[in-house]
Amino acid sequence: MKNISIYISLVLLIFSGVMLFDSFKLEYGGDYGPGAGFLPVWVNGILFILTFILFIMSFKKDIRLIKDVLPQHKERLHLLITILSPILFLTTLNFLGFTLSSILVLFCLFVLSFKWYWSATFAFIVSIVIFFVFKELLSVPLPVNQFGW
Amino acid sequence: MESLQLLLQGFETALSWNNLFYCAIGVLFGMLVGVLPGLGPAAGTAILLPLTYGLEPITAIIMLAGIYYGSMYGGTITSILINTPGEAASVITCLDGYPLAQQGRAGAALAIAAIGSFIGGTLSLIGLIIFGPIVANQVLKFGPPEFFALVVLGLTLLVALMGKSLIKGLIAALFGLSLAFIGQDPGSGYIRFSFGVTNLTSGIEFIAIAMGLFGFSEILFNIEKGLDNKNSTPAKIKGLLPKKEEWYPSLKAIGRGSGLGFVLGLIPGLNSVIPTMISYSMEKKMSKTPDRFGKGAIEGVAGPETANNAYSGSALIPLLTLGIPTSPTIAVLLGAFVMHGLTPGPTLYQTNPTVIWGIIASMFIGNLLLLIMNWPLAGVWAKITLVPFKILLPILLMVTIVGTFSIRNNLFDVLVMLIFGVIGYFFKKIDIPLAPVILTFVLGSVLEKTLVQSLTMFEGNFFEFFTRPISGVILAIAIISLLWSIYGGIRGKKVGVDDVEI
Repeated sequence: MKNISIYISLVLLIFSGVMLFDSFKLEYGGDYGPGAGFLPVWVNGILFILTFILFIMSFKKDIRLIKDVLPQHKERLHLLITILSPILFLTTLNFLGFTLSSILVLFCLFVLSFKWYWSATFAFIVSIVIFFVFKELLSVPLPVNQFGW
Repeated sequence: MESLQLLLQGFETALSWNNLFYCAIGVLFGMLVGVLPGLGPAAGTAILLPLTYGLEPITAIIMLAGIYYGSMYGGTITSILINTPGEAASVITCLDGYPLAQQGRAGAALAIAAIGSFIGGTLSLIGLIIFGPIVANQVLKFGPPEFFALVVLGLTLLVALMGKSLIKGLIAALFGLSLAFIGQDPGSGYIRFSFGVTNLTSGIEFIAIAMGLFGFSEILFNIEKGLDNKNSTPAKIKGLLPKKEEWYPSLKAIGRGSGLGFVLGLIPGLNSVIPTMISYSMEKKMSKTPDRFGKGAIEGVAGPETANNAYSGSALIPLLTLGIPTSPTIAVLLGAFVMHGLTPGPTLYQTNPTVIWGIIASMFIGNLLLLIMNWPLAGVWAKITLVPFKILLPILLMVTIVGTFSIRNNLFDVLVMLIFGVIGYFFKKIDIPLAPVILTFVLGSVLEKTLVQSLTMFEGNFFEFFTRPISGVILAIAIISLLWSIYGGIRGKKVGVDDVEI
């Protein structure tokens, strides 16, 4: 089970299965023409069949080993941190405010390549610039802490 | 004549200081996107979209269009000077551009690329001016069945041409269509597939998906390559003109590239790489000395560079006249139109001529600005590639996060962006193309609305589509193209193109 195609096609199969199941709950046709479920039933039905074929193919024809497809060692860690960084931003934003959350996330990303003091400096400068551009120039209401940043 | 008058009015709009400024900013960012390897036009346009939130609709579109066609220019510089294409359409330019640079003739290659790009871009704009209103006028006569048939044709051509596997192309297209069902049903107003999540009742935000699939997933791919990844030092530029005897064959290649790029830009699913590849092989075949190609033939730079810029202009015709995007970048532009309260399509020519003609006029100005920026300043642009990824990528990531948040000031959109970034990353790992996902998602509501309207008109009889000449012919072409693709897939001869224009 080191074949990544199996996992991706399985996720797609589950997605299409759930969508197809939910499509059946919708009205297929009404008095005046097709209902809300008409196209979803067909689209999700065909998608389900195709993802099932892909799932079967992934065992025999479309084999892609995780070790060949995903990065190893340092790059894998970097990738994971990058994927987690928006989650860190989302979880801290409401109580830390934009600037501190942004500094935290950027620090985590910069520190992968720079010394901690350079990372802190870059994170601080970039966050302030982004805050200024979006909040002041573009008038985007960024979530702020009790101090207004 | 009327078009000319409207174009002059468009120039009046485009030449206002404000629009001129944002046009320059747009092409500047576009150049930057083009120059930086690993950041394609769709990703660049999506990431920079939030910068236009506070702008007037016309100014915003002028800026975003500038990013789009500007990126086509920028990619050339790195292809010629450091043998690294800034975006996919410039891959082919490396073949002869870099050898020319090694021979100390980088200036000549850059000059012919800039001139070709300018001529190709300008000619395709003239095509847009001539054919745009004609097509829009004809399309006004279309009813829901004709629009449905057109969308189906666009999607089948896309699926038939995109990706290496027909099954994966179809899965990508249907996945995008399935996502488009989330939210309110366009016919009955019924809320579908929200699974009790309040944020899903209004559907998934298109820009969040685009940012994820094309922005965040690209960042992940670049991180995978290693943050210490560095580009080589650019070659020195000497002289800014080709030799006297090179002008004539170059101009002939530019002429052919313009025509080719213009025609191919009208076909859905053909990304900007295809015109460059066809142009290159055409130039090689037509040359009396084909063995020069790959060793520094100037026509090998002139043709493809012209073709990709001609393509980018004509690809706007289906968008502006039919409201149908033909590539992911154009889909992002469509999203930008909608975000700013404009609906591209035939009625836009009637309801908002100032916008349409202002954008077209701004593209003439933008092309001229790009010629100036590219030709004498190429060396300066090339130095930008020396900015290390380890600085650039965290900044891009933060701009992507904040930009996604600022669409609706909603953290849910950031989560959507993250999810689709990861989906995009893994889809690419098993060669599921991303372009069909975004295009079917964008066209999903139009497809469903026109299908429901048509079937209501036909009292449920699907075959009525074939009794109307226009919808019948278009649907027949769609079916033939799909069958041809299935046949090609079974015979193992599928003519697929990589999903590269991101």
